[in-house]
Amino acid sequence: MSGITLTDLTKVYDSGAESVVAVEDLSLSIEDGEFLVLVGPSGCGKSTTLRCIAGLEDVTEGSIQFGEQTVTDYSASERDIAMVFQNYALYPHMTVRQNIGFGLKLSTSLPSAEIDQKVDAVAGMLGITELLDDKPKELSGGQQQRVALGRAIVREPSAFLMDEPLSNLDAKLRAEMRTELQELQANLGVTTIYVTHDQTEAMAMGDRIAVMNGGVLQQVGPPEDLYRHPVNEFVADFIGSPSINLLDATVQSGTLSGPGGFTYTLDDSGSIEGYERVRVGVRPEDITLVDDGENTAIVNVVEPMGNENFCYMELGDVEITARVLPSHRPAAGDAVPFSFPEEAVYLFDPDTGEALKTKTDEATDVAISA
Amino acid sequence: MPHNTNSMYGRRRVLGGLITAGTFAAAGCIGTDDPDGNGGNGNGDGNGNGGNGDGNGNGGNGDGNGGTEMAGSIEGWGWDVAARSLQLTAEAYEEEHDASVTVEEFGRSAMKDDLQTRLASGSGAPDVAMLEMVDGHSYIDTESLADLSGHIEDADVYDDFVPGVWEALSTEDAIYALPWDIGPTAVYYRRDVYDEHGLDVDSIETWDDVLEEGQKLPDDVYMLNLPPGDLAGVWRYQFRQLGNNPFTDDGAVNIHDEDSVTIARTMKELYDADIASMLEGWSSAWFGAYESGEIASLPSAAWMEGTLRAELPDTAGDWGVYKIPAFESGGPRASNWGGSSLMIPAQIEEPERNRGWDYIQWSLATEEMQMLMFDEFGLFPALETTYDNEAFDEELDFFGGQAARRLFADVAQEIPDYRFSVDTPEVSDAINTEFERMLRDDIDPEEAVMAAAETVADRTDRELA
Amino acid sequence: MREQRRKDAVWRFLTYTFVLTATVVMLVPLYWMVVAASLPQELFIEFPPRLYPGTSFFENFTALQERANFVRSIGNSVFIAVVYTVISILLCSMAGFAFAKYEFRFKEPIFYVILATLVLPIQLLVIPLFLMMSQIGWTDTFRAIILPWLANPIGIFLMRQNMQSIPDALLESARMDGATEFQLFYRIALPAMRSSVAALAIILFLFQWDLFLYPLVILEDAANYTIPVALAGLEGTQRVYYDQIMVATSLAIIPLAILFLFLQKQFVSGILAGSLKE
Repeated sequence: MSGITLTDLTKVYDSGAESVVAVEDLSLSIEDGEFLVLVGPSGCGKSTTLRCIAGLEDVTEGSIQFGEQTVTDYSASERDIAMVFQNYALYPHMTVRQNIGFGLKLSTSLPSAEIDQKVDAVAGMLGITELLDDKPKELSGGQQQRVALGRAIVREPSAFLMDEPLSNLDAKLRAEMRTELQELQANLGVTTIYVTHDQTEAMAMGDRIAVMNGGVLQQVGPPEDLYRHPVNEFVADFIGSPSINLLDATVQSGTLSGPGGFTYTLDDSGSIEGYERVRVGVRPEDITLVDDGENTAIVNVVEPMGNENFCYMELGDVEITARVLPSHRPAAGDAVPFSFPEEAVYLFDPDTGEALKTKTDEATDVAISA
Repeated sequence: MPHNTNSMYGRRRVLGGLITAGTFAAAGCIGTDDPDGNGGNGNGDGNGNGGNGDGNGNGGNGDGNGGTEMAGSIEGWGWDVAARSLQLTAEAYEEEHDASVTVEEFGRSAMKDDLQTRLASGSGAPDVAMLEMVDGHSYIDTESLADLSGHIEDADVYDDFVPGVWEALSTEDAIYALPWDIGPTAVYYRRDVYDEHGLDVDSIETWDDVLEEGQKLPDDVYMLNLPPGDLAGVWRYQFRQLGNNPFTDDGAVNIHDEDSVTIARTMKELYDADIASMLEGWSSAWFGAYESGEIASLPSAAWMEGTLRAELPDTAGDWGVYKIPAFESGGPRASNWGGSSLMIPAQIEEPERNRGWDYIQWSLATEEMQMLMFDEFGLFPALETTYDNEAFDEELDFFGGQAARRLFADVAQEIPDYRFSVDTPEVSDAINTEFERMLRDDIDPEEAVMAAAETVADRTDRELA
Repeated sequence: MREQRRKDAVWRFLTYTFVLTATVVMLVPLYWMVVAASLPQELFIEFPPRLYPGTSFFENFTALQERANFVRSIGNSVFIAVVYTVISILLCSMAGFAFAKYEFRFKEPIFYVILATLVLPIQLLVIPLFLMMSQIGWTDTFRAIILPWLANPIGIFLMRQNMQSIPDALLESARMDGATEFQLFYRIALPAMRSSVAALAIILFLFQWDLFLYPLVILEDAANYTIPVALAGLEGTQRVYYDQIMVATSLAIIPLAILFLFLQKQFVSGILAGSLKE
């Protein structure tokens, strides 16, 4: 078991005429036993980063360390790590038992009786004992997923790498497996790097989350930190569901003016001193519909969720979402006044996207994940 | 001893042509050395005669001075009864000479394929090999055969052979093989069937006579057979009979000549008179018809005797032969169908070449050996000097007491020259196609020969004569 | 609904009729071959031909053996074809694997050059090969028959196409499991290719089995002849021993029949199914 340290990791794909920078100067430390989620939109370099750690891709620049050991030039098989693939990649011609035992057979000199024992133990842990003699094509998606996990676990590697392992499951099974995976990881205490494009999954599972965009690491931190204190507009926008409401505003002596007649006067405008324009962000749950207020939006549609309602509205040419009490059910076309506390306001530099102000209120008990 | 006769061409030249084409094309590509194998002392291709076993014998085979040196052992190739005949003469040769001659027996097309490859590659060919006359010019054109004219001159044997055979084996200034056996033509007929229906052999001189006599046969008995797959073979022996050649001296296509029209017209008349059957040659049905007497006559060559003896033993004594009919009274009645020779590849070096010639001369230019092969295997000698032998006058039981071989010997001496060429298969192909159409009444004889000539001219890039 | 069912039934009837007819058409010559092999030579010439077997198979066989030791030729052919097929499958699969799953310089040009060799007819290759073999003293050896055709372009092409369908993740997964590159090939890629390998085995086996001109030129001692070469030797000029040839061809088919039966069960489609969740 060990931590993983990436230093200035850069990966450039050179395809003749043009070269594409997939990962740029990424430095990141994952602690021993930590569950780190790499998240970002597709093409952001998260999978490439994972494959570099796995040893499936050469690193263009920078280094990778497992514990104290630099493994940058090690082949995949020398790194003592296991990987779970999005499509499981089970060996079609082998039984479940052979699939799980394959790595042990190749990389250790254990006698086959011992390998069998370990396979049995893992299969028991995952509840797939009765499937051991089946071929992969006879299994359901969830069962295949467990076999893929079993194959990783049985080798007792120093780290797990998981590349969107749940994305092929249906919603219900995905939720179940999510919990199960977390428990498993917690019990085994193995350092895990988990790649997903799904921020909900990231928020739910990660001890820490690393958000990537365009090959560049944006921010690393515990889920709530990222939610409350994103370093820039991208992270603020990516984390949270429904997404944060964003709009352009001009600044005039502490008063923000935006589309649709939007005005908001800040009590403390120190963070935007000198700015003529800013980007304003307000999370949906921080917007409340009020009887009378400065700002008014036109309701487009209301989605009842049972315990709450999502109210989609138009403010000028910007769509904003409010997460409101189930008792609030305005009709489409209604003009509803709304407000939000100043503590909940995010402000970003309009050019760099850098955060100028993030949430300053106390942590609320609003659920972060759906 | 069953009389199997040797090969003659005319049937089952199956995939040979195709492979030949490929092989020679290849030869062109890789450019084997040895541009003309004339007389030169065998320098050139270092690994020359890899194929001919242990070149033991006469110690240091130093540089060939004068070319009188002879190798101690040579290898010869042939197929079927021809190979067995060579084994016979080889035994006799070894007794008289201090040398060993090994003879390899092959299948016919197998040997041609193998030999052509080795000739084209410039190495591994046997010291002596059998060469069918029909193939003569195809091989000569590849420049892979040794010129034997010097040897033939020294041995003074040119005039010992029937004159009609040399054309197929020589060019203007070189001779590449020594004639072995030939196929003088004649009509085999079922004596018993002719007698039964009152046909008179002696009155048959021309094809008109055949037509006339044929009318005496009942509807279910045919005078002769026209093999649909080998109408070209029939045409060829008749064209040669008339002393004609498919190509003129300057290479123009000549198969639409007046003679050719005559042949086509005669064939058509025979067919239209309903006295000719059309069975595929050498098929079971064909053999069956001759066994039962359903077909009364078989125009063929000397070697057919062996086949008839072997395949239709029950008909022994019922056969007779007469010369092939003329096209007009007093016209020529001799032609040839098939024949072969022995050659030496150009790649063979001097000592082996000398030994090879010595063995060839021994086998083919001596009466004793030619008669031995004739007796044992029915190979009809091309060596004219043998025809004085009394064996030719023997009255054969198989032919009801007729001295059939004398008739063949007479025909042999009158065989006209005939020039085969690389394009012989094209001629056969075109003739066969057009004659079949003619028999089906699609076109008339003039049109048929003209169409065939145009096809050949077109495919071989020649002029029409 | 009923209309559809009736249509299906008619369609099935037509399909079966077609397949049945095709089967009969294919079997008749085989049947005739075996019948002819069992007839004495005199009956063979008989017309119309006899359609039921005679009792002379063994005599014909004995005559054949005396002329050509055909059993030995069958042994030679089987030996050469089996050795060739095994080695060639290995080589073609490895080459196909490399072309499908690795990146290297000039990969595409090399592949197309290999493909281009397909247009060279064997007849064209025989002469240079013969020269080469006689220079290294390999004439009249089995290895000379086997070696030149081992890297078979059709085989390489076929295996490359099929190997491309192996998901990269499968190989990466095995790499993570500690497999060496060669283990990837023979423990993961090759087993996933079972049906292709079976098909390739038949292609390669038949290719070598049918080779004629090249072995004819290379093989000199009759004891080394393969079946096609021995068969060609049976061809006389006047008299053809059809009975013997029929015996020979009947016997020559047996190893092929065994091969097909043996490989038939490998043609299970969808062998890759279930490896990936799409």
